[in-house]
Amino acid sequence: MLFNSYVFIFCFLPIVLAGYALLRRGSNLLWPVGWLVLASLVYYAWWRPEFLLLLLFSITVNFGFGTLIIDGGLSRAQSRAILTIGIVFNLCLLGYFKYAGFFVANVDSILGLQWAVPSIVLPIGISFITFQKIAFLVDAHRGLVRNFTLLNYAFFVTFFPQLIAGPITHHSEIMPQIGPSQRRDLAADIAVGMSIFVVGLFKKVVIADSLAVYADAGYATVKAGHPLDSASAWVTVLSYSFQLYYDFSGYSDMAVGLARMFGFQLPVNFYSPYKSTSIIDFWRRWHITLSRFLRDYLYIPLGGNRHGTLRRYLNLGIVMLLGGLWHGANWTFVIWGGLHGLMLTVNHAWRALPVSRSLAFKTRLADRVAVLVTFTAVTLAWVLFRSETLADAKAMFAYLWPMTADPMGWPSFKGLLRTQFTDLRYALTLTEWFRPRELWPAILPPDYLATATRPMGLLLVGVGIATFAMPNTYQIFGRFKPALGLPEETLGSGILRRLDWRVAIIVAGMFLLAVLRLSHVSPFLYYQF
Amino acid sequence: MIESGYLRALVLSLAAWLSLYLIFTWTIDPYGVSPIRLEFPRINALKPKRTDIDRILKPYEVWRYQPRTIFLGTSRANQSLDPSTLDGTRFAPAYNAAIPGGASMKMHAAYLEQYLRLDHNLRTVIVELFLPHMVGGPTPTWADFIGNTVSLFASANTLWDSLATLAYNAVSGRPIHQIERAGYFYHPNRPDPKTLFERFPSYIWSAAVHQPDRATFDQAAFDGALEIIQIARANNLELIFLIGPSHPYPDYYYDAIGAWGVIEEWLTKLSALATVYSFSQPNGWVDEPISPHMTYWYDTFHYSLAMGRGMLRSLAGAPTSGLPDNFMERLTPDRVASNIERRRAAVRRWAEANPSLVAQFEEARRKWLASEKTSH
Repeated sequence: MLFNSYVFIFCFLPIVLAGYALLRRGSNLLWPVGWLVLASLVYYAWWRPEFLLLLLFSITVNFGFGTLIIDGGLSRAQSRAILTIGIVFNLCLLGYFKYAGFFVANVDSILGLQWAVPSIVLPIGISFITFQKIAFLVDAHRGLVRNFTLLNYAFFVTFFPQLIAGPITHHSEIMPQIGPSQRRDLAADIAVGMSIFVVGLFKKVVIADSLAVYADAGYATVKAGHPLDSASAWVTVLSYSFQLYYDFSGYSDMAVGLARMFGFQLPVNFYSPYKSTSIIDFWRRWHITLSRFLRDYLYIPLGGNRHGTLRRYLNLGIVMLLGGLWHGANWTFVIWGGLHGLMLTVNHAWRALPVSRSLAFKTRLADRVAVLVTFTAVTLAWVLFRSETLADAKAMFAYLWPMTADPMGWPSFKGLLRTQFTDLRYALTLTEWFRPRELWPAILPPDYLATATRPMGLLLVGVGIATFAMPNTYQIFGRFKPALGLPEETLGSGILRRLDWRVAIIVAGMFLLAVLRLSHVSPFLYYQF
Repeated sequence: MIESGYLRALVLSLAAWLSLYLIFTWTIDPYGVSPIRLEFPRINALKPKRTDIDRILKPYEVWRYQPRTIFLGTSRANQSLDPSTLDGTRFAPAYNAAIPGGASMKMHAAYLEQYLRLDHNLRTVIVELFLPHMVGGPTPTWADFIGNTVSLFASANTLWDSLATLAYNAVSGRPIHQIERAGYFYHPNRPDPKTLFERFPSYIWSAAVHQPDRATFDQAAFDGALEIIQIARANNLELIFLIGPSHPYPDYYYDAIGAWGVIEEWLTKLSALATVYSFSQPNGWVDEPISPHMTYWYDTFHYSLAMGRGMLRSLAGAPTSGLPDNFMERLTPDRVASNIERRRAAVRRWAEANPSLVAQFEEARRKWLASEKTSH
């Protein structure tokens, strides 16, 4: 079940919220927490019920490990051994479901063993759930776990707002909230949570999904072996860059908003990453809880920055390579991770140079250039993230390079400028705007995305302005303490001072647009007589 | 601070926005489906967005209008058969439910089943046969019907297309192509047919057509036709298959790839099982000379509304004048061979009279065959 689906918005959420409101009236915490666990299991089982058994099995085994570590009276060494077994168990589950096919395919291609590549369906959210459980076991071993019961643990793992795609939470962040959440003003939490959820839904459904059509068309063209001109290639990669941004930002907002409706605060996971002035800054703003997990449970155990500069860079590289692999079982993700590791290393090396601290690099202009450079680097790296094969990525990089005078190179940008911006006969022909089709033609002309998909240019400019110039959700709702881990200045200076009828009008309008966007009238492009 | 009435304001605002949305989209009505049906010149009379959405729109309109007769077919039937021609005949009211672009026999069968559930007034179904299209295609489901109908009334596209419709009517106001109320496609500004005829060789011998050099009997497609016959019999429907007019140029193509045997096999088998009328006989209308202004042809494959009116009036037995004597012919198994022989002879005559078109065709074919040989 997706957050951006009719069934979730109009059935699941109202029922769960109503049940929760009723059950929390009593004094027994078991009922509301149990209700949320039950709802979360239904939510998880919606896609493929058989994976619920896997989730329950994994919860039971991890609860056993946790009980042994916390209440087993074990020595430090014994506790460490149980922790190791627990981590191996969780990684084996993840490895089997996510990486077995990748591993077999690669061994087979290297050794030519003619192995059959297994086709294993990936249980939804397993990457996040695995990290969450590993984090719990490590915290248990470190003595950081309180209020440890089966119900609480099941709630911590399965709480549906963060079950499928994070944020990856610590036990210590969620457990202390269970008691107080029952005493909070539910109506106020619903008001704040619903408003944040709607903002996230709007970002995901209206912005990200609109851009996805064009990004998908461009990448599909390249995958089919057909050329793109440079302008269309840039339209494709920029569309994807902003699509991914608003997809993840929207999802994170929805998760935070949903949790808040039930009185819980999740950690902040996304904080205007495209406003970063460096790659280091980017990873402090993009998927913050993953970066935190990798830092706390991989980078620091590897030695972090405690063993000299070279070792630090090596550790960074290892962490980012594994971080890349965590995103998907494909060499494109590994190389994407490696590339970010390399960029982080260069960034750290640059910061170590005295010249980087000169006043020339502290100006507003320098900051803006740094934001542009960082955004460009991140956007180009997304080519690897989005391409299905390294060959597709290579082809896309080649199309992005405009240094030729033929129509596929620099001149293609003239066509883009003319049709999208300067020639009003094209740019303002309203009936020809926004025509995402049911099926793209088998072969798109190379300049199709740059010239025919109007007003793609205006859309990208609008989204760019929104991304770089507007405040983020937390800066808007900061005064309502929407998430954990926000900077103090954000909490104190949120743009919205009060939720009143004016905000209600805007939020309701965004909600209606988003819900309407869930349904499509998709024209069919007749490409064959 | 959260005002005490915030949630109530949220609900009321949502109701207000929704009301505005409904008033606006039902008034502008970009897809012509509004329950209130208001039409204002320079505001919403022209519907530029009521196009390319046949698969979404037509099941809904069949359910809404409950026609007695429906047409199934591809873009030929869609562009050229105006159901109002049948007004006053036993077939009325009729609706053109043809789906352009890749419609197959299997798809027609699935749509027919759906239409039988949606339309309790249905008595006759007229199915266009177009031989190159007897391939697979998506089939409709109930979930599609519900999802598509919801999308016509409640989607961001509806809002956007309402704005586009309003802008087009206010700014341009020129007649534009759209699906007419009875389901057929009307294009007021057709391009010069001669140019389109001249493009035929480069189109047919290109990657846009799957295996253009082959013609084999497609059993799955024929099974689709059998399925349509079974559905019609089981539901006591009158079923008529139409062989639409075929210009000598595409007939030359069928001749060149040796397709006559397949066509004969199809028609012989089908005419033994169902009523089949052919409009492909060579005559003054079908063989109209290619020129920039043609009366009976829009392009190589698409015959005109004038031709379509003649077909429907002939079919309904309505009084007609000026039609060629052999315009409509009922095919029976014993008549198929002679019908095809007449077409073949006409093609050869046409080829002799049009050497430049034949040369263009053969040059495109030679290039395609050479490129195929290289790629293999």
